[in-house]
Amino acid sequence: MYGRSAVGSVLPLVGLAAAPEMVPGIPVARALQATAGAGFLLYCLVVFGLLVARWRLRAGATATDPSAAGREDLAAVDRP
Amino acid sequence: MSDELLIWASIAIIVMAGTYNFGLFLLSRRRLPHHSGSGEDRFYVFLLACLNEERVLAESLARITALPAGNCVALVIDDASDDRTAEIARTADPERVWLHQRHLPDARRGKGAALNDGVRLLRASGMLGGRDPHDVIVCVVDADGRLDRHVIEAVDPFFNDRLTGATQIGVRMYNRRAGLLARLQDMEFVVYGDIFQSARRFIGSVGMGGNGQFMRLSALDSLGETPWSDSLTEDLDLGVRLIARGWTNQHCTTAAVSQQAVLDLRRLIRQRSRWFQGHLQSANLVPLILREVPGRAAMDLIYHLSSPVLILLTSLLPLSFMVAVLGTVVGSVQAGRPLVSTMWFLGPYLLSFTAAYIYGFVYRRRETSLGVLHAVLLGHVFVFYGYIWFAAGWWGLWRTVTGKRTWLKTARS
Repeated sequence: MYGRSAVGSVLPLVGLAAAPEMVPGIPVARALQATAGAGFLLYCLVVFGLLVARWRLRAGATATDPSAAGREDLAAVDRP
Repeated sequence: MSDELLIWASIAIIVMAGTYNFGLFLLSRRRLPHHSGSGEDRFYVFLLACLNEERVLAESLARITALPAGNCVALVIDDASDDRTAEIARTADPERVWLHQRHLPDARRGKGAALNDGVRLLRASGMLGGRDPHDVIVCVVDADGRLDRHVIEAVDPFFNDRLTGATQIGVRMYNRRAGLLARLQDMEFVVYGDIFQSARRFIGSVGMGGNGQFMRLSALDSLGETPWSDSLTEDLDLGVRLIARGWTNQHCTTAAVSQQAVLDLRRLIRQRSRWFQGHLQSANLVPLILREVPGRAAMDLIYHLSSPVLILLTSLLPLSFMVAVLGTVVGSVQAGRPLVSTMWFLGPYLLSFTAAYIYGFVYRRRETSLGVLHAVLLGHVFVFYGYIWFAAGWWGLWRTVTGKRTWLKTARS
């Protein structure tokens, strides 16, 4: 499930080799790549939001119970 | 928004994934301090949730009953099979193989439900003879799972650490010589175990798989009456919840369970679609991770759980590349001269196939009979093999969007 290498990441290299107007299909290829890029920016935004949410959740938990932010040692709790 | 910015953002996906993968490769090379000694009092129960497994069950039970350790039993949970599954379990050594039969209409509600029923029985029936749940290790094995003979010896030291809640062993394909597809699945699990899982031991985010997961009964108890959820990837779900409850998950690289590789591409994509859909369902674990899991492990788990999104996004890139290649060919013909330079070939190759050498290297350490060239070639094919996730991902997304949640289990060959 981890990110796979994608051959498509190299589209800009095509641009290095040939002027875009001379290559048919390049606008479509660029549009696909731009869509992936837009999705990734959105992904980064969501991750940033999650980080902020985590910070707020844990800050709130620490304020109400200082031990809550740490890991709970269940093994120790379960053992006599 | 600028087109250029979006295109560079798409490249950033690859850079991020490549950096992460390479970072984990480096981390996986570190040695883990090993806890020595064994817990002679520990008792191992192998749980096999079985629905029509007559083709493979006998062999798996034979392996378990032949384990040299005397402190283990197999509990076969027959999920209302129509075939000879229960009969096969009954004919095995009754001292080492216990049978629990579920009946319709309560049966056939998924693997998680069957496993929960098995654990409920263990807790309530007195089968464990009053043993401390901290010293009872429950291991989930698929009906086609063939455990290494030394598996208990290999796993046991991990449980000397009282915080260890679960230990996942490696997964191999016993029919890996049955063709390229089987070989690539074997490589996939070796790479996943020896790079990602091994590295995640140092991050605190080791995941559990559906086959070969060893768990302390007390750790399962800490998750409540029904430790396994009804998620399509109940193993992933359980591993995350154990971490959130403060347990440590370990990965054992010195023992493995071998299972049957899927030999048909369409069936394989269907299986991966199910896993993909399970990952999507696991998004509901995010609030738990944010609240309960320590920093690095939380970041890694969020990355892991969000990988379906990244897969869908990166699936657009090969498509883009193919369009560009076709366009370049057509443009070259029209222009009467090649529109590409040597750089055009080198760049794509380096970006796409550098990882192939790493995968080949890691796999050859397990399959020493492979020649260097063979391993490198296999690594190259493996890069393309990864593209099945693109098809699986879109299929899984489609099923999620259309509200389809039921899956037929992957048939045994």
